[in-house]
Amino acid sequence: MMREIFITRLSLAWLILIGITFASWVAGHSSTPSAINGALVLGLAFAKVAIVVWDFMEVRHAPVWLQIVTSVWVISAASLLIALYVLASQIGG
Amino acid sequence: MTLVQNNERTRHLPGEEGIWLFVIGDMVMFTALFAIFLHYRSSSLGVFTQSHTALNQALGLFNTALMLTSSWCVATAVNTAREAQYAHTRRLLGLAIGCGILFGGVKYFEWSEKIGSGITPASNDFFMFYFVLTGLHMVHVVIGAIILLFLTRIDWRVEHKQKVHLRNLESGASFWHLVDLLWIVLFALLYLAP
Repeated sequence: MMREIFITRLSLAWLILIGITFASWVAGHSSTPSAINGALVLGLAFAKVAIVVWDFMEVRHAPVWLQIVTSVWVISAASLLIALYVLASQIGG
Repeated sequence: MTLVQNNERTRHLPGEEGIWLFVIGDMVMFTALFAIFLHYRSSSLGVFTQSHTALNQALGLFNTALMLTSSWCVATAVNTAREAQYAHTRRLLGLAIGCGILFGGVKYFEWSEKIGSGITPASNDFFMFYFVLTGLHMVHVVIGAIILLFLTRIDWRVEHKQKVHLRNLESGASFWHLVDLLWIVLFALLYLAP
């Protein structure tokens, strides 16, 4: 029974999410902080968001309209926030 | 054509349509708040980059691990309910609530630490956003934990109600995953991005 609970696609998704979290920690702690590091941190965050939406929220099995709406949100929110972040960094310094 | 039809038939909306309207609305609202945060950041970049270093990133990392783990628990709880392993469903939901309570405890410690060292929402724009955004998120955590608590009380023995119970569980799970994904972006935006 424990095998059925722990050895699943969801557990693999959790492992990948933890792995990306540590990768973004490293990107956020670069010795030469730059807009690129920040953009990478935000990009990795939205990669995690996509995994949560697709696997944990089960959108991969959901009707197509929900897959489209959530994908449009993930892509447009990521693009908007990364663009604003990079633009602000360039204007400010 | 038949393949397409079969594929459409196996597709399943997890939870009520209403919860998805709420989830999508909340995602859009938070995106607007994050964009406003970045707009303010552009006009006082020095203050924002300096202030963000005052946040306890290790605690933020710990809370991220808690949120991800709680989401795994809730998603796995839904699967165990589908397989009629209700004792596991209850245990996993209990674990997720435990993660949520621990998350709240860490957040309370973090806020107290800041306020104790004289940092308040009035200190500057960065901390105003820090307290408002993490506060709004915390309200979601509390509501989500209460929903999960109700879900642990489901009496699965009444067979004709199991379909409705499962739908309610899926709706509650979708809300909890929303709480998780909002934190993922908050952690990146406030704590990690230099």
